[in-house]
Amino acid sequence: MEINREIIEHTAKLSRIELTDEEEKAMEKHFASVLGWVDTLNGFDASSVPATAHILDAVNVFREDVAGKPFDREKLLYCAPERDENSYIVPRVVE
Amino acid sequence: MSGFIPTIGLEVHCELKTETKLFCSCRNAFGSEPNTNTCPICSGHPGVLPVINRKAVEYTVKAGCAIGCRISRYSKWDRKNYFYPDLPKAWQTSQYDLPLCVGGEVKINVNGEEKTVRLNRIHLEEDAGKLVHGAGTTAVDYNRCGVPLMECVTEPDMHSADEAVAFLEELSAIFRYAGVSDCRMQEGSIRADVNLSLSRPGEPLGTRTETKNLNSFRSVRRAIEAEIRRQTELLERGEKVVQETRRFDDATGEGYGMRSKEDAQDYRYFPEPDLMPVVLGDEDVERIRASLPELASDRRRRYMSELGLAEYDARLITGDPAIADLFDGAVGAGANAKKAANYIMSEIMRKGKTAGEDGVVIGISGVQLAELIALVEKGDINLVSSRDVLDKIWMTAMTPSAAVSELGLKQNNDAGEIEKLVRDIIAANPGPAADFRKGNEKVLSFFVGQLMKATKGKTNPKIAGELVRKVLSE
Repeated sequence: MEINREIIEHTAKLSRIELTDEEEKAMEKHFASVLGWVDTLNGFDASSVPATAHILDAVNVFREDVAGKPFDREKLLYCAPERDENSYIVPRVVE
Repeated sequence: MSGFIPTIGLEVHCELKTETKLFCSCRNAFGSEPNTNTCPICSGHPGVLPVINRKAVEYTVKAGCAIGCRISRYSKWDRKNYFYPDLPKAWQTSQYDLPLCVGGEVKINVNGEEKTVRLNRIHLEEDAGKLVHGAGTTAVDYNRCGVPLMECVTEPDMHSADEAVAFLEELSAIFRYAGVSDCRMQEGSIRADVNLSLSRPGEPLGTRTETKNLNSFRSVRRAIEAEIRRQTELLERGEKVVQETRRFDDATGEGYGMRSKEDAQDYRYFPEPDLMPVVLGDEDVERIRASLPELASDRRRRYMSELGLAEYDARLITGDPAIADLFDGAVGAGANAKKAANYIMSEIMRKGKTAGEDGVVIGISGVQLAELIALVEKGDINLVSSRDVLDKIWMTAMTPSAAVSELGLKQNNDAGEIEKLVRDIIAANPGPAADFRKGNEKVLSFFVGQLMKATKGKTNPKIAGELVRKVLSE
């Protein structure tokens, strides 16, 4: 896969980060090297390895459906950059 | 006739009625004070780890069993990335390529014709929070964030608004019977997205649009009808339908395209590293399947074939499991099935309808209902005064006959005593009596009304009518 400016800009946009021209140029190099590494991996013959959906060989454990002690709302709202008495406040979002 | 055939697929989101959220032990409750059912996990703080609610997985499997899905023995979790303040982590934990349930179907009946709507899948995911838009800012409430949500995706098997609504009604009934979701549209516990395209017969499907977040059966119907009109007009003018995400405005009755970002659909799904795959054994699945109660469609068939109900009546009675249970209880206590059905559909549904709620509240047992119907049948009380009895015994354990004597409603069936009253009333109203003798039959009801007034409604109307006629014809 060829890495160009367009791909860098698109990925930055999806990630909600703004890159300067120089940063974009640097990213181009980084991306290319990561993808080069993937190419190396693709060269490996994996036909004898079973496919997996998760990197760990473990299965899920469940939690029972029992309500815990309510968490103090104030402790959570305290962390918000902007809030009112009972809610988080964000800039008005329009769909 | 435009010659276009609409093709419709639905994505239906149902909140599961678990006690707690999908990944944390916060309460899953509607209507709480903002942000009181939240914790560091569901409000997306760094460094926390989710733990799956067993009940949520079991309910989803149960829902899948109810509509004949294949239940995955191995399913996994994925992150669906998007940036919107209703989702504090900036991703929704969902299931992408290995959902819990695959396939399945729902039978619907539209205008007397049975059709099958196939399902593609049901997966489990977390619901998002609620945004309250104010002037200039938006307030965020994460109480709903992390509530377990089933997403049911259909194949594009529907071709009209009627079929889509019939599907939603049937799916809701199935999930209510299975006891996995309340499917209350008013509370947002069931919501639907509509995918719709038009095509000419025999031609490939046209470009589709997706109308998101419809939260009543009525909006689904109106949104589909509006979108069919809009696409038809575009195509007839020779223009093209643009693939886009749309909203439907209930106030104006019109849809509109969302200010679309070209990357909006680029969710960059990837496997959720914080959760292990869910592995279910055959014995788990069979245990859950065995816990399914008799479903709406089975009951409907039984009511029609064994109890002789008409299809319309059977459908109405089975629309809500609480009503069907009441009906079964009354019939079990000896009530005639058709009479019980009629009484439920007229009186109980009226009485049980609560303002602003989707469902019906049932405040009477099957045994009480059977006795009440028997009292009306025997002529001890009439239909009108049975409503007073219903009010009296509603939400109590009182027997209908106790209520009848307490309210003094027992009907007067003594013909001799009534006849004397009839003679008095006729003597007091010589004008109308003469009219009747000249052939004006309508006057009869005047006299019956007078008699009812005199006996405070406690006269058997059938006996009253016969007596009035008899005395007037002398």
